[in-house]
Amino acid sequence: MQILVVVPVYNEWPHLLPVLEGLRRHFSHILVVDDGSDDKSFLSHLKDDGFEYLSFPFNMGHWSAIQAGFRYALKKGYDGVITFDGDGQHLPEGALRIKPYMDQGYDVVVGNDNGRGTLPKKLCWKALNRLAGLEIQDFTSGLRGYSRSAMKELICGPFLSLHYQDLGVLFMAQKLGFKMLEVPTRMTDRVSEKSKVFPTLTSVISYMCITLTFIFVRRP
Amino acid sequence: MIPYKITTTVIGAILFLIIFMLVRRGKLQEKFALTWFAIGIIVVILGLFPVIIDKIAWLTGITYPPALLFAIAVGVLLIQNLYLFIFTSQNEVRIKELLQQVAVLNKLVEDLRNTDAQKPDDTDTAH
Repeated sequence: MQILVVVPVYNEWPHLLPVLEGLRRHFSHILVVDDGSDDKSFLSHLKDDGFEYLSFPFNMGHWSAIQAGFRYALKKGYDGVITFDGDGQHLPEGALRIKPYMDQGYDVVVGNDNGRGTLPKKLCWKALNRLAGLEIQDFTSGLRGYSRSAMKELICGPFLSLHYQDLGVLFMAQKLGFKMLEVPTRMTDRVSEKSKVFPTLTSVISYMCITLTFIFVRRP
Repeated sequence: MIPYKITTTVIGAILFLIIFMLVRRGKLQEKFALTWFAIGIIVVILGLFPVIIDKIAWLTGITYPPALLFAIAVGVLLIQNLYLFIFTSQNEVRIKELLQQVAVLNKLVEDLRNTDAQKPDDTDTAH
């Protein structure tokens, strides 16, 4: 089973290379997707080190970068994709734990880490999870495996209007009846202290509101 | 003091002219211009004959005619605004899809170019 590891990055060059080097020890097919980083010079470094990459001319969001990775994987005939954050939070071992379940035919495999996050954050996520009726517990995890058939669905229609690779994706995938599984993995703290998705409190609040609206509108 | 009819007519005419110029210069697409032209024409007509509003208000049982005018204006603007939001959402989805396709195609073209560039080298080393 041919697997492509997709690493979406946005302005995280200094931490990226060790992450990629670590990945390369276990996976031979890696694709970096640059989500419109301000400084494009790192792409030539990637080229020198023999890493494949896609590049957006402007920032379009984490999930959009991943979808571009899906499109590339589908065109190139890969059987599955593992998404892996470029900020050093995920460990290659986590991706390795996901792989066997993809071989077993699961469509969406989420690597979760329950040790992550502060208590209020955890409570918020739990509440959102309950409201959405989601089977997967850790929907914020960016370490995921997607099968080819899942990718085909996940690049079109309603999935294009999503901004984050999170609850929305899992919620709609669950509705489409994909075989989903959660695998416990260990994650480290980010090398860069700040989360890319939630740099400030306002971004967390805006995220909560958007997600609540999403659930409110889609829940049957 | 000039009659208020002139004031309203002038305001209506200016609005109509602005819309007309925008369409002419290509700043406003024809398909959006249509509704704006309709709005412009209505404003001109109401400016010329403000009595129409009073008549409609009387017919619909509204005692204070300006209230009717404002209600219609707010309604029209709301619908226009909603339409704009729908249009922007649609556009964003389209932009996203195009951006992703372009990024992938760029990569594929680059790969092809590289394999083409390598071919002569391969034959050289074979000799």
